[in-house]
Amino acid sequence: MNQIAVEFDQITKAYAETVVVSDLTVAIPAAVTTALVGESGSGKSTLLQLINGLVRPDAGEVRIFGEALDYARLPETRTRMGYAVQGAGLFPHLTVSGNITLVARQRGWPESRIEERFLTLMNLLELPEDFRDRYPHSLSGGQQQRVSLCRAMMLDPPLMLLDEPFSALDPITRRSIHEEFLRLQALGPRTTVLVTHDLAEAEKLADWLIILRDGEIVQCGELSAVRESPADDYVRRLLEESR
Amino acid sequence: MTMPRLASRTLLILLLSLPLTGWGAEKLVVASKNFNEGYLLGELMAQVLENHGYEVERRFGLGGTLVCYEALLAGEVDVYGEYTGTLAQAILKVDDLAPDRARLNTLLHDSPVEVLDSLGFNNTYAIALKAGLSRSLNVTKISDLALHNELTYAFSLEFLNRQDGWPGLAQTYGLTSAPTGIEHGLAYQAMDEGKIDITDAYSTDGDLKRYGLVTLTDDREYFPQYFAVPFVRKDLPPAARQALGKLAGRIDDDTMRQLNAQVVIEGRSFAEVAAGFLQQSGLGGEERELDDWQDQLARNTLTHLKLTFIALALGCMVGLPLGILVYRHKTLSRLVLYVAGLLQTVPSIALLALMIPLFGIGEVPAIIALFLYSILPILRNTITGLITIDPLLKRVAEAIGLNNREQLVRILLPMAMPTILAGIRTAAVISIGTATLAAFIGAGGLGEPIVTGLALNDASLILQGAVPAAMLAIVTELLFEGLERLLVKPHMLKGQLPE
Repeated sequence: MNQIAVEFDQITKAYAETVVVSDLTVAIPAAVTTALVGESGSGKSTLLQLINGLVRPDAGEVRIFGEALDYARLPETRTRMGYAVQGAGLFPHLTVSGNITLVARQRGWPESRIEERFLTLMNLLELPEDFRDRYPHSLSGGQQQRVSLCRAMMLDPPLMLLDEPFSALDPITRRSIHEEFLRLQALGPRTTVLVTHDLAEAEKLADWLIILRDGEIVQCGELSAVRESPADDYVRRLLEESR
Repeated sequence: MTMPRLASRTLLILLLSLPLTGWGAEKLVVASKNFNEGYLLGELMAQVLENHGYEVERRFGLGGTLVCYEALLAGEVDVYGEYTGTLAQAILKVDDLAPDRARLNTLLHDSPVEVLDSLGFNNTYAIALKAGLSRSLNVTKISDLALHNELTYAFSLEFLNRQDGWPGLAQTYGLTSAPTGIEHGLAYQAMDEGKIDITDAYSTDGDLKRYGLVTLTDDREYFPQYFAVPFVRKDLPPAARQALGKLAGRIDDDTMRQLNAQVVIEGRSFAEVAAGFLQQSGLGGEERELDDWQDQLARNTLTHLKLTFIALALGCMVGLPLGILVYRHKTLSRLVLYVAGLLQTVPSIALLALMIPLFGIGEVPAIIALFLYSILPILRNTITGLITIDPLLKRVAEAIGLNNREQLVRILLPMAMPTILAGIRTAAVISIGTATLAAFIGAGGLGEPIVTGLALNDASLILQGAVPAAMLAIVTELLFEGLERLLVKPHMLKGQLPE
């Protein structure tokens, strides 16, 4: 395992009476794509939201690139973490360009730099430039998700957090976005954490797997290693189903 | 954000333009109740004071005895015309049918207010019949009626049934006729057509003149006395007392009836009639220049807009931040909405009356009352608009690195904007409607012609207030539609009224 991007150190988190994760310790490697795989209720989304502080642990520590997450400075930390969700989550009152460039504008980027980055991203995700003034409701689901990925990458964050961004798309659209995603990742190494319930998607997009079940880690390791020696019957069955 | 700055600056300018009441020693406030004789009394007293060099501010058409009395107690008003019977029964709660000035002032000993000498007339219940009939039968006193059982009696239903109406009267005078009930508004007409001979009336009613009716003397003093008196603050300057004293005993029942008739029947203004009487009686004054109706309309409309606008601006300044502050907390939101809702259930006239001891009369309490009414729609829509935003979008706004202020300004408020605007719009329209009631506490506005019109039963006067008020409401609706178009993208307007 190369450098470590995110460390969960003895994390415990419970909602009301339900314990989601308990004394969980695991690391996410830098510069590769890690998939958090599990069924709903496995705790995979909670884990993702622990990284950007949307969820605060009851006990334990989250470290990002070696530094403990500072909950007093979350907005600043979050600008270094791209975020995309299922259904895109675009703001309906903002245009495509408004959605993508919002945070850059708030952080006072010069207009020329915003424009340059915006065009680069639109280009990368094969969005026509004349979409810039359109509103999200007039775009298809796949187009919206592409815009959402542009927004996540606008500030060129070292860490990307993707919460099932592709799962609401139809299979054909999903496949083409998968291709674009892989092309993006090939441009330069970037730490990406992808939450998915679909192991096939994880196998296609990720280099590293963390398989969760009922808040516990079933298996964690490189994709090839997991494939070669599944930790138990659960993982074995997941692998078979994804074929 | 330039909107709040603009709004607060406009507000400041408007507040500065509010008349600063109570400044300058020689300025006196004269009030009146909201019926025609009340206005006339107010105008008579105001003009007498003006003729003696005082500057007078008129607060006419206040909503009834309680409002006038509270305003006098609070020192918001220096003088208004009251009736001895009303003072005894409604204000001092004593069972005295003929209270004189000394008796009333003894009862008012510990109060900051007192009564002056009566103007002379007694506006009480009276028994009326045609002048010709009175002459031919030689009936001038109520006791004379006992000799004439052939006459037809018809009384207003209230008079017929009240213990201190017909039943007591019949007993006192030994009358045995069986009267029928009739709507008061129709009684004079019926009498004119010879269908009835005797009915009840108010002794100074101008209509008595119009129909050539006379009233019978209450020789056994059955009816309580309602002598008109200047009801004043004890700290009223002596010179002002002297001026008002010149009216004492100058107006008898018949004169008052004539003056009332000049307003009700001839359609002359209160100011004109009062000035005419004062000149004739040698109480000074010259020809008065009267505002024409366009000036009055413009003035009333401006006042109305000012009241509504300031109240609405205050409503926004409190409702919006409060909504933003509490919307995350379910219990707190609910609590705040309950309180705001509770305010809404207080009937407007009651709320206005409650304002008097606290804020006096005039524009300030009116604005405060309108402001309290405007909070609920603004607050409720702000909270609703904010809590109904898709939680996923709230999460994304937070996760992409916007701080709390940025989330609010860039995401939450713009998304809640259609709902918030709808709330402000509702508040604006409600305020315009409710502001017509502000005339009851002397705040002026378009309610003034409505209140005066109601007192005079003058439909055209009522319309002079009601029509512009309705137009204002429509213009406001249109303005908000424009504002909505300016601030909200069409696709954000889901479930709105069709174009």
